[in-house]
This record gives sequence, structure tokens and C-alpha cells, in this order.
Amino acid sequence: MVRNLRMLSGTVLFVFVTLHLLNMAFGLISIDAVETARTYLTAPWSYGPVFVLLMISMIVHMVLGLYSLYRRSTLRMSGYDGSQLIFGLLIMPLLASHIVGIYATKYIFEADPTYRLILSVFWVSSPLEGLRQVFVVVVVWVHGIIGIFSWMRIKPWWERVSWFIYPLIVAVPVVALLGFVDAGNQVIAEAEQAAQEYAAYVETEETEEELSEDELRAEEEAAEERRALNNERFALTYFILWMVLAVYAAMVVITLALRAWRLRSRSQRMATINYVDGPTVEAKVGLSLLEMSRINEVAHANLCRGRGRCGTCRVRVVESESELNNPSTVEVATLARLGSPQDVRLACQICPQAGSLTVERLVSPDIAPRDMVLNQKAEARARTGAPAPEMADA
Amino acid sequence: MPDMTANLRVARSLIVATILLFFAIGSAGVSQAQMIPGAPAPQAEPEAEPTPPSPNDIRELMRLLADPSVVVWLRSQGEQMLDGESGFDDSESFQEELAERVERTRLRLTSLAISWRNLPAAPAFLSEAWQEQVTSDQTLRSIIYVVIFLVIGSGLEWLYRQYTLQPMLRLELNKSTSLSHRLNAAVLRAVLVFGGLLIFSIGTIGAFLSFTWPSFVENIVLNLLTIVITIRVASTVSMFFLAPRVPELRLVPLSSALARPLHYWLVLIASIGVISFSVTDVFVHLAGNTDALGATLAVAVGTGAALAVAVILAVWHLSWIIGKRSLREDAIVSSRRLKFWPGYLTLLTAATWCLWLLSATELMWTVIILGLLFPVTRLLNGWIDYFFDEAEAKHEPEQQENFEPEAVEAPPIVPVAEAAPADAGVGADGPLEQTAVAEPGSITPVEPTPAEPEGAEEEEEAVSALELYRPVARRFVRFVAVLCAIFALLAAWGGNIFSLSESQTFSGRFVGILADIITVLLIADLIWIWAKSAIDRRLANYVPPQGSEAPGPEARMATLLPILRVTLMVTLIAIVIMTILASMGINVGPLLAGAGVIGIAVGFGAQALVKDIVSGIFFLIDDAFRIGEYIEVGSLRGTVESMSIRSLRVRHHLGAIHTIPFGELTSLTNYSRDWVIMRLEFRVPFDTDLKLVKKIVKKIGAELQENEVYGDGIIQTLKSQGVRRMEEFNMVVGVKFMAKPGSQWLVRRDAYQKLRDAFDANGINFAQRNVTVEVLGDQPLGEEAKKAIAGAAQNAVDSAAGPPQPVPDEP
Repeated sequence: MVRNLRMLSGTVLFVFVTLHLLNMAFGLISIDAVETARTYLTAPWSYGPVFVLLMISMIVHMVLGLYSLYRRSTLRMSGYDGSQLIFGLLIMPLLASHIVGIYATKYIFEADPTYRLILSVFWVSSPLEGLRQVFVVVVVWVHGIIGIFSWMRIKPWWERVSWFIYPLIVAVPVVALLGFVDAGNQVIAEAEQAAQEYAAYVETEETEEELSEDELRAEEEAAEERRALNNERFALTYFILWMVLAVYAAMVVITLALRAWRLRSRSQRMATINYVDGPTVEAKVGLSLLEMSRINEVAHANLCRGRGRCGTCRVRVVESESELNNPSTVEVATLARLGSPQDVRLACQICPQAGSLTVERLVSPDIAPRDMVLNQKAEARARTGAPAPEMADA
Repeated sequence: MPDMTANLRVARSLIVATILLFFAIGSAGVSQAQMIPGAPAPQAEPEAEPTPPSPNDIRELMRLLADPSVVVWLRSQGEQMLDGESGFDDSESFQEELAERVERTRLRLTSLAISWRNLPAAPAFLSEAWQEQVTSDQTLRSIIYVVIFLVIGSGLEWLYRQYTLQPMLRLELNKSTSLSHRLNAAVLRAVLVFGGLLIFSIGTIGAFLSFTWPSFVENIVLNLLTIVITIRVASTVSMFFLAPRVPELRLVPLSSALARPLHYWLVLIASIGVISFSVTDVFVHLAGNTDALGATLAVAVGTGAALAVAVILAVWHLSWIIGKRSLREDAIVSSRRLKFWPGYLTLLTAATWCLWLLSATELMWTVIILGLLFPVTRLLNGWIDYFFDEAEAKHEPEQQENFEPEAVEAPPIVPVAEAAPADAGVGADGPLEQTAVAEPGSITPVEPTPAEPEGAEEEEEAVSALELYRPVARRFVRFVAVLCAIFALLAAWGGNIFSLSESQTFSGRFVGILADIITVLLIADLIWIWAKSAIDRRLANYVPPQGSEAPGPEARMATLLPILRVTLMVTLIAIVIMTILASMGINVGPLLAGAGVIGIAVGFGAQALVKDIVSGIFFLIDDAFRIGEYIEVGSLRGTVESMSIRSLRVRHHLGAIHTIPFGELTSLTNYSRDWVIMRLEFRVPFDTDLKLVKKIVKKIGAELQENEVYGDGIIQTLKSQGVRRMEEFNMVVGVKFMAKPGSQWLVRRDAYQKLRDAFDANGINFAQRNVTVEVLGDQPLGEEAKKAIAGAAQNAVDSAAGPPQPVPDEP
């Protein structure tokens, strides 16, 4: 349930991000092209049920991410998992100003947040924001790609389409960033031109016609008023922004505190794992077998990165001193799909207790998704032909 | 255990040298950055009234003069070189050279002092200069650009990695201990990683090139990209050798506990180095022409100091790790050594930094090169040994098991510890090498390996083929290292190496000659070691004949090889002396001509000798005879007793000794090869039962074969050949047997004896010469008549067949 919800919300967010980036890529043509594309690609996300879906997805995904951090029993993880976690945590702080800025423009300043407007903010008035956007693109994209990958790449059809998808994965952010730069240059040029025109205008105003004092005062007052209003609006915007950031920080801190609380009573005893045809290692109790393997640098296949979907981390439990936890529904489903016998378990799902455990890794650590598919087919054939026991995969 | 400690020792030396190497590169970069724009400070000097050429100009001129094309041009103009320049390109005296250097140091000290005095104002000055050049918006935007370039580069690299992921994973997971496999895997992995790096660089730099930049921003962006790419290159190279995560792919004998920190330190030092270089470069670009405060110099000094501190920290940290490990694993790493090497390297680093501070670049390079030469050579030797050990372990697994503490395992890299007796670790392979490395500076002493009880050794080849090349490889590595050092030194001092010998200055010529001499000596040494180890190996594999065993053809080799060795040595020494004399400018032509005349004279005299030696070599190649064989040369026969380089000594079976020069041998008969057939014959009366004879011979043949003394020597035993011919009084029955050379005499003796006995027992008589005299008439003969008849018959018998000739050639 949690898994599916996370995948679903993530997919929604990913689709939005992709469309947003593609929209930005039109900057390679011109800003006007971006604006035109906006009406089809990005604008629909800000109305009605789509908007609600996006917001809900965002909140759900964030909460679930924090939940998975809470569930994590060790922070020593593989590069992919670590990047995904850190990048996921970074998204909010980096992105908050952009989101808040957009909605502030729309609802507080009551202006249309066009690309031209926002880009002029990013490139002309506060380049620091622009830099932050570049980082956000990288962070969000990497986070999303890792998630999508872990999910998709164990699908049988993945091998066929991956060769077309890989270049796309690189192309989308690169093109978007290049569009960002190109559009930015255009915005800068426009801004410079506007400044020149304004200067020329002011000059002609000053030389040619003298304004009366009243008019001047009125103008000044109006300007003062506008400035006051703007200041108010800015103050409100910043207040919202800081609130968002503070709430987010509080959530992260609370999550970490809860996690520490959950782990406080974890026993410091050691579990000893004997790998058949492999080393014997020790690890603290409380981790999953897959995490133990990773910490001790025992090569262990895990295509879905410990989510219990692919079954490549399955092991045959040869001997166990202590009782192993019961298989979860995910594990049962995966093992049933693979048609594994009773003594086979998923390493990412079992948490060895103190004492020794002897397991045999059934899948070669260098397995590729393609191999997995082939294996499954071979196994399926073997099962239909003769009810043979599960082969140790080559 | 010796393996472990040896590895540890090699490990340490590897670490220090690599670090220093990195440091050298880094500091070189910084110093270069410092040198090119010139020291700006002297502009602030108040007493510059007579306006001598400013140091900037001098330096610019020096730079130009170091350029070979400029030198050529100047020469062609036939102009006198300007005075007061350094380098070897002009004809200045040593004194002037020195004075110029001292002056330069003085200037540098002045600018350092200025820089120190103005240090508080430096940051403000730099930031002001920065803001003059770029607005903060521009800075931020260039950072945006850099980030985007990096994203493009890493995106492309990621794409590349997706396609190479599987082979990479297989390489890393495929555990194999074989050396060649490991090498292949490491190289392949490096190629894969480097491919990624290349794509990354192409992506970033390509994106960079597709934009146009203001010059200063371009400088910054380029520097940023350089930093990123350099760090990645350093990391990849280090990973290629150290493989911090995958011990199976590691090319150096380090444990993971050591390889990882070493890798991190290397990357860190490389990062600091390249960042120092880039920061200095950026600031020099920023304020090079307007910098009166010495602010850029301060920056350069600061970054250089950071680099030096990093190197020193790395040295101490790593030696601390080694000390800790050796404590835990009981490896004997003497605390003295543990203190000496880090101290030495610290000192070296500090000295380098000080010299760099004084802008004495040449001196700095000299110190670095000379200071590193010894440790680098040592660790390269250790590395070579590691490879040889690995290859041998693969090559002769069973030998390794049997000979656990023998020379095969580790001792050749093990320098003899102070406490160890001098010959303790010396294996059969290279006492010379042993003494060469057992110098007091050896890094990690190791327990002397206990002497292996002899015994099993005879089974195996005493010296393996790899063992032969080990000293050669070591020498070669040393040769290359020294050569590189020489070239680096020359490059540091002279600029153009190859025009050195034409240089007119004293020091230039001196250095050039020295380089020549060292090179010649090194090459001669290399050849000598190769030949010597080859000869020694042959000699070591020669087993002298045991007891009566006939020696093989290598016996003669054993006499020839030492002579060959001496000849080679004399030739090499002669060549080396000639070359050295020639490079010192002495004309060796007359010497050679004189030697040639004498050589011709001697050659005529020694013609026969040469013929003897050469034909001896060819007889040897033909394997015409061996010591102990029975040969016939012309009219001379006998057993080969000994061979000298010129002649052959043959002992006749009667004791006489013939000395035959090889040149005299035209044809040669060898009676001792493979088999001999001996035919025996005896005479029996005509009434003998030939079937019985055949049966008896067969029986005796079987008996002979049973004999335990010579039975093995019989190839085909005695068998009857029937009647060979008829004579007037008897039949001649032939028998023959085939035996190994040398045993036929014994067999023949016994065969005759047994045959006689058997014939006797079976009533067969050997035919005796008898003359039947038929007397016609029936009256009895008188005594007189009988005597006359007997005398006549005796005459007939004697005249019919003379007394039998003895077989002449039997010992």
C-alpha cells in the first residue's frame, strides 16, 4: 500500500517535472515559444483537479519519504540509495522559494507567473535564485530517475526500451538547462534594453517638460504607496517561505528523533552470517541481511535495491540459529512469482537475529535485468516441463 | 608472514613516493604560476633610479632565451649573447651565474617582505580588484554556467556508464588471483573509467567552448573546470593502481586498510594542489599588473603552505596507520625506520617549500628529484618484486607450497635487517641484488628468513626463468628511474637538454658530461646484469656428474661460461672507458687504432688458437663426444678424459694420454653411443650337433640377461647365428649380442666362459688344429721316420694359419 502510494505520487510528480523541464527547453527557441508551450505543458497543472492531484502527490510523497527515513535501520547505504535519500531531503529547501514565489506572484502580487517574469527574477534581479534552480533541476531529476529506475528496470520490457530511454534521461535536463540559459540571455538583453529605454525616457522627461509640483508629489506618493504595498507583499511572501521551511525542518528533525527513539533499544548484539562459497561476516542485529551484505562488502545481487520486488537478493537459508521474521506480503508475492521453495527468502526482507545464520546466495551478484528475465523464463519452462527444484542461477 | 611484512614495506615506500610525486606536481604548478607573470613587488621599490631592466623584463627575456627557437635565431644572427642571463645558453662565467642567482633571491626576499607587510590589506585589495573585473551577478552567472557544464558532462558520463555497467560489474566481481588476469582486469577497468572521464571532459569543455566569454570570466570558468577534471583524473589514476574497494584488482601490494586512506590522501593532495594552482592563476590574472602590495604572492605562498602541510599530514597519518598495523600484526617494523622516513619526507617537503618560497626553482627541483630518487627506486624495485612474486606464485604453485620460506616467496625484496646476518636472506638467485638493496636506508626491515634445509631442491630447477629476469627487471627499472631523474634535472636546469653538449658554460658542459657518463654506466650495468644473471643461471643449473655417470654436453658449457663472462666484462669495461673518455673530449681514435693494430698482430698469432676454440664450440654443438666416452680420432683411441677451451684429452686404454687440439679433429668416431654389437665366434669340429649348440647358446643368453651386474646393459642377448663359414678342419659358429657401450667386454668375457663350460658339459669339443698324416705302406715306422713326419706336419699346420692376432683395441 505504502509502496504503491509512493510510486503513484512519485510518478505524478515526475511527469510534472518532466513536462516543466520540456517546457523550459523551448527557451532554446525563444521566450515566446516557452510561453506558448506553457499553455499546453505547465499551465494545466495549476487548475482544478490536476492542481489538487499535484499538491496531494507532493505532500504524500514527502511524508512517505520521511516515513521511509524513519523506517531505515541503518544510514550506511549504497550510493544510489544514499543519493536518493539526500537529494530527496534537499528538494524542499531548494525548491520552496520557487514554489512559494510562483504562488505568491499569482495570489499575493496578483500577476500571471509567466516564464518571462520568473526568468527575469532568476537572471536579472537575483541570480542566486537562478543558481538554486539549476541545483534543483539536478537534484529533483536524479531523485526521480533513481526512483523510476528502481521500479522499472526489473520489468521484462525494460531491457528493450532502456536503450532509447537512457539518452532521453540525460537529454531532458540538459536541454532544459540549455533552454534556461538561452532564455535567460534573452531576458537579460531585454532587461538591459528596457533599462536603456527607461533612462532615455527619464532624460527626455526631465529636459522637455517640467512637471508641476503637485504632479510630482502625486507621483511620488503613488510610488511610495506602491513601494509600501510591495514591501507588505514581500514580507508576507517571505513569511510564508520561512514558515514552509521551518515546518519542513521540524518534520525532518522530528522524523530523525523518532527514528533515534525507535532504534534506541536496538540490541548491540552481533549476528554472524556465513555465506556459502563466501566469507563469514558479523553485523549488528537490526539490519536486513542485504544491508549486512552491503556494509561488509559482500557482493549481493539486488536489482530493485532492497524493495522486495525483484527477488534477485533471494537466499537459501541453510541454517539459522534464531527464528527469522515471517515473510511480509510483498515477499510472499515475490517468492510465489518466482516459484521458490520454502527455505528461500529475500535478503532485503529478513532481519537476522543474534547468532549465526548460514545462507546461500542464489543469484550471481553481477546479474543484469536482462539475465533475470531470461532466468525467469528458463525457470518457468523448467517448471512447466518438469517440476524441478529451483536452479542456482548461473 | 615474510610476504606480509615485505608488502608492508613496499606499501610504505609506495605511499610516500606517490604523495611526494603529487606534491612535486602540485608545487610545480604553483611555482610555474608564480614564475610566469613575474614577481610584481619590485615596482614598489623606491631606489630604482638608474632603471636597470626590471625583474619582469629580465624574466621575460630569460623565458625567451630558454626557448630553443630563439636561441637558434640568436646564434644565426651571430650576435653576442646578452650578459646577466641565467641558463646554459650563453657564455657567462660561473661567477656571474651565481651572482645573478643571488640577486634574484634577494629580489624575491624583498618582495616576500613587502607582501608580508601588506598582508592585512591584501583581501580588501583582491576583492576590490575582483569587483572591478566582474560584478557579483556575473560571478553567479558564471557559476550557473559551470554547474550546467558539469551537469552536461556528468549526464553524458552517466549515459556511458549505463552502457558499460555490466562489463564493469563483472570485472569487479570476478575474483581471480592470477596476475595476468588481474592486470588485464585492472587495465580494462581503467580504460572503462577513463572513457567515462574523457566523455565527461568532452561534455564539459565542449559546452564551455560553445559559449563566448569575457576574458576574465573565461579564465575563472576554465580554472573551475580544470579543477574538477584534474581531481577526477587524479582520482582515476589512483584508483587504477590502488583499487581501494576491490582488492582483487589492486596492482600494488597494499592492504585495504592502507589503500583507502592512501587513495583519499592522494585525491585530497591533488585537489589542494590543483586548487592552489588555479586560485593563484586566477589572482595573477586578476591583479598581475597592478599588484603593488604583493597580494597575489601572499595567496601563492598561502596555498603552497597548505599543500605542504597536507603532504606532511598525509605522510604522518599513513605512517601512523602502518605503525599501528605492524604493531597488531607483529610485523617487525622497527620504530627507528618508522620515525626516519616520515621525518625525512617532512624535511624534504619543508625544504622544497622553502626553496620555492625563495624562488630557487632549479634548486627546488634538484632537491625534489634527488630526494625522491632513492625512495622511488626502492619502491619501484619492491613493486617489480611484487609482480615477480605474483607471477611465480601462479607459475609454480607446487613449488611455492614446498618451498614456503624459500627465495621464491619474498626474500628477494626483503632487505636484510640490521640484526640479520649478512647472508641470511640471500637466495640462490642474486646475492648481488641483495647487497644492492641492503643499504642502511631500507625502509622496513624484515625478519631474516630461516635458511631452507636442502634436499627437495634437486628435483626442481634451481633457478626459474622468471628468477632470471628479476634482477634484470630491477636494474632496468632503476636505469629508467635514474635516467628520468637525469632528464628532469637537466630540464630543470638547462631548458634544452640536447643542446647541452654544445653549451659553452662550464657548468653546462660539466652537467652534460656527467649525464653522458652516468647513462653509459647505467646501460653497461644493465647489459652486464642481464648477461651475468643468464650465465649464472646456466651455471647454477649445471649439476656436476655424480660418480661414474657420464657428464653431458653442459659440462663443457660449464668451462666455457665463466670465460665468456670474463670476456664480456672486459669488453664492457673497455667500451665504457672509451665512451667516457670520448665524452670528456679526449680523442679515442688513435687509442682505438693502436688497439686495432695490436689486435691484428695478436690475431695472426692466435689464429690456430681461435680455430681450436671455434671448432671446439661446434663439436660441442654437434654433441660429438662427451667426457668419459671412448672415441677414435685418426689413429688415436681412448676415453675422453677432459676438455679445455683449446684441446681434448683422450686416454688410451693402456694409459697413454693423447692431447688433441680441436682444430685437428677432422672426423671423429665415437664408440660409446647408444649400443654396440659384439660378435663372437668359435670353432667346432664338423661332427658337432648344431642344434644342441643353438640350444646351449640360447640358454646362456638367458642366463646372461639374468645377471645382476650387467644384465641391464644387454639390449639383445646372446644368440646363435649358426655356422658362419667352413674351414678346412672345422666349422666356425657365430654368436652375437647387443649391449650398451661399456658393458660389452664384461658380457663377452662371461659369454665365452659359460659357453666353454657348457660345451664341455655337453661333450662338444672345440676344434683343435690336427694334421692327419696318412702313411702308405704297412710296415711300422721307425722313430726317425715318426719325427720326420711330425716335423713336416708341424710345418704344414704353421704355414696354413699363422698364430692368431690379438684383437688390438680392447681395454
